[in-house]
Amino acid sequence: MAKRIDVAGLSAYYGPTRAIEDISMTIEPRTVTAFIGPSGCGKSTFLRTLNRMHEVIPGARVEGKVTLDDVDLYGAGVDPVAVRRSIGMVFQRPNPFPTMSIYDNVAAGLRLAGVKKRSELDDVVESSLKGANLWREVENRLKKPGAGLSGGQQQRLCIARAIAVSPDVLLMDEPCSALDPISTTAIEDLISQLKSEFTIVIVTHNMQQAARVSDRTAFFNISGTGTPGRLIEIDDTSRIFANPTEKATEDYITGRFG
Amino acid sequence: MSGTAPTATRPTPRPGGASSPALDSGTRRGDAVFSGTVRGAAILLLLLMATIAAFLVYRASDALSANHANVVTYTGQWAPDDSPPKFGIGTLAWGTLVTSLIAIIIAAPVAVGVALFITQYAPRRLAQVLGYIVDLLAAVPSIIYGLWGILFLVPHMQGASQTVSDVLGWIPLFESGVFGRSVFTAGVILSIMILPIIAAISREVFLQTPREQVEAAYALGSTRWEMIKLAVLPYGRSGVGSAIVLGFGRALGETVAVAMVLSPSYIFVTKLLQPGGNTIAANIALQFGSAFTTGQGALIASGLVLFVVTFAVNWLARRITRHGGAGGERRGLLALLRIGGRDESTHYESSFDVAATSAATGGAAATAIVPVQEDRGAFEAKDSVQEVAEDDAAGRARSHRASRVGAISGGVLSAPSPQRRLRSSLAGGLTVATFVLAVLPLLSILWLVVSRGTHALNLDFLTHSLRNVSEDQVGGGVYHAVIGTLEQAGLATLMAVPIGLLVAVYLVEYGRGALARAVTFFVDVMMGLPSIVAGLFILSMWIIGLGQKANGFAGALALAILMLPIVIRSSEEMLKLVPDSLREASYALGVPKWRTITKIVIPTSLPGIITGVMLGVARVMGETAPILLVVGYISNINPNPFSGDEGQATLPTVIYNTYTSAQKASNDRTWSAALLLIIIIMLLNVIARLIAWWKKPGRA
Repeated sequence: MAKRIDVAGLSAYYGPTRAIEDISMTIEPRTVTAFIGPSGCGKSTFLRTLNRMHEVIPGARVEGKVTLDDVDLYGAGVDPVAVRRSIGMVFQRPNPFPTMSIYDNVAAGLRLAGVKKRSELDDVVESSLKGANLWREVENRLKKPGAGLSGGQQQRLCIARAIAVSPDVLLMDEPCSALDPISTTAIEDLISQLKSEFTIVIVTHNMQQAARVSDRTAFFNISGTGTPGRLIEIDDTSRIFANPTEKATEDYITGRFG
Repeated sequence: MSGTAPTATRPTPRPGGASSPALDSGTRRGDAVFSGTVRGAAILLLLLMATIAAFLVYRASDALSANHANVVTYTGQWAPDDSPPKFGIGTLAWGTLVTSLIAIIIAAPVAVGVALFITQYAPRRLAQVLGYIVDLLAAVPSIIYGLWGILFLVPHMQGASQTVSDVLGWIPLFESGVFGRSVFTAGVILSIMILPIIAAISREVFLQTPREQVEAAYALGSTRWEMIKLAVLPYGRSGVGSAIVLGFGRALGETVAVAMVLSPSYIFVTKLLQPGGNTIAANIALQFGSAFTTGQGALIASGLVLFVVTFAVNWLARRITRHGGAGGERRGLLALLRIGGRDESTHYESSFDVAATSAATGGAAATAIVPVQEDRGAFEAKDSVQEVAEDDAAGRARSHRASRVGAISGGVLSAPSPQRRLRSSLAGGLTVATFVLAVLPLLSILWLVVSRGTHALNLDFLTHSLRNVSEDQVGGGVYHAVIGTLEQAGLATLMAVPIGLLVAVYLVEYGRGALARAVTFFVDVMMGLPSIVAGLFILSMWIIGLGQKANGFAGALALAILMLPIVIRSSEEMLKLVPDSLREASYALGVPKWRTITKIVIPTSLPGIITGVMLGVARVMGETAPILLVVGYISNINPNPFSGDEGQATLPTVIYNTYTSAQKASNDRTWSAALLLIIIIMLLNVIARLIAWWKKPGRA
């Protein structure tokens, strides 16, 4: 059920400020696509336009077109709530709901969408936690608060929460930047497993991580402070890291970037 | 890729879920209904304010046009019901200003000292306890301060007044005063009343000093006092300024305590220590009982003046925070940067002889390189040699760490000069002194209330009314007043909490544009509303305007008006504390906004909201002034707050109606009622704080 995302001529604004400009790309199903680039180049902003989270920020708006298997996400009559149900998201810092137990956190999306049947919830919670490689660590304390887990476990809990609603696409905004190397490895392994089911898009500052986990890599850049971010190129990860087409990409990857 | 089969990791697909091609799932209606409801509550609030204002102005203008005297300069008796009617508000406004100024001059420096002591000098454990004590003192109702003022302070003030006039008598302001019931005494009472509020706000402001700034200051080798000057005070300046102005506004509107202490006269007071003077609020409480139509209108007119003045003062306080907030922060940072350059060049000499540094140097180094503590809260850096010596083990650990850092950086860890350390110690001592100064009168109040209140406090006192109990008779009780207090506060809560919570949700989750700005503005207006003016609102609209009865329900309405802003503001703060990442996590699961609010945001902030509500209840339970205006006092039991004109007693009005008695039996009952009121209010406060602590999110 993983789906393809097509982006055409997309620009995003914060109030009058244009954060990203004229971005077009195709994100293939059942692949991991990594976004890399310097800070402030609009990677995260672009990611958030893909599930219409960008517009949650007051004054933020989007121009251009994003389609999910031929459905225009910004079309008239499209409910952003439904878009987000199809395109899940994992955030930079683990953000489990503090008032809820581990079980309730994973079940939150289904419950809030109206699923009440206990057996169905139990199944989904178990399969999601298994899918997030967390089940064995928490199966005996499902009723304990999610905030009591370690940072890496919390992040996997957030991934379990995201996949529990069976999205088509999973967006990850620097999911490992707040984690230690061991937890990072656990998340990276998980990403490799999940890509057989989901279209995964990951923003990362860590180029080794991009090289390790992704099939395709997109490089974003800005020409100076205050200018909008642009997509420089997108290609197979092996090609981007070995033999990029653009000079700017090569400079960034080899660390020669100013 | 691990061996997990893809099909096993896939959660069961759900019907109606993401897989449906149509992305319009019809969640918008729920959102529309919900946002309509909260917006409706916000509009209701505005309409209420507009109606109230209209009735006030209408009543006041009638009396003002009937007035035969110059309303600003007239200094004769308050006689709006004579023919022709004569009254002047100028003397009252002057008296209000003078008493409040005296209060703020005394209270502001002491309160800032108290806040500094609690946040910067007291050990963390003690600081928490002291913080709670200050919060609880802020909850003592004004009727208790008034009772203490007239029965304890006024007699004792005669000696103090004599001393002040002996020393400063050559200044006309302080000429020959021997009589305790002066504007000076009133000012002193007010200063004690507003001190806890100013101290509490200042404490919060100081606690929010960004950790990086504190660390930066310490990292430059500051003593604690230097750190305070570099980081805490610059950061807190605007917040403290606004706290002081808020305290001033509070003093302007104080009613019963001043009414009980002053011996009223209608002159422009210039001799602070001599008897006489009056304030707008006190005059309303004193004159209301004997006022007819024009008299009520005249009092409403004076209340309107008070309302406008307190409103202006509160507006000023808000402006200070809004414009100073970011600026103050910037200034603090700039100061840090400047000092940074200077310190680097002058205070560090080059030497590698770290091992030779004495224990004192170790302490200084510990001050310079403050260990990073995990907990939020007051910083504990050691200032003096003794402190370090006492804390031997920790001190060694620190100097060890310090020497390591020193060795790495290659600088010398020289102790601050004796003068700098002395100055820091002196400043610390000064804050301790202000704390003691602040706590003494409060201890005196509590001691009096407890020691005198226990004479008559027994089971009979809780189960009997004052019906047919004469002043010299022992026995009788306040059962009737406890019922009235609980019923009126309960009804007020039932009205204020739903509306308040909806308005808060509107402001935090939906509020944009003109409506939100207007609502925020009026909540601020209501926040600084003197309680007597809330009474006048209900009097002019509900009782005079709509012809309703002066009963317990009218009292509850007035209390609800006082409670609403507390509920809105505290809920608003709590809702704002819910991190946006939680809302985004919920949105990212495809949950509509209204369900995100009701299932994620509100439950997360619920303990805080409950705490805010309980603090609001505690606050209105102690109110006297508005109840005096809209509920008649009776000494027998009336359990029905909706009964015609019968009236209903509350604990504060029992105190207000009995404190003048010269009989010991009646006096004992007054003090016992005061003790009971304090116990109830303190219990509510303590429970509220326990809830906040117990249900704090993330407490495993």
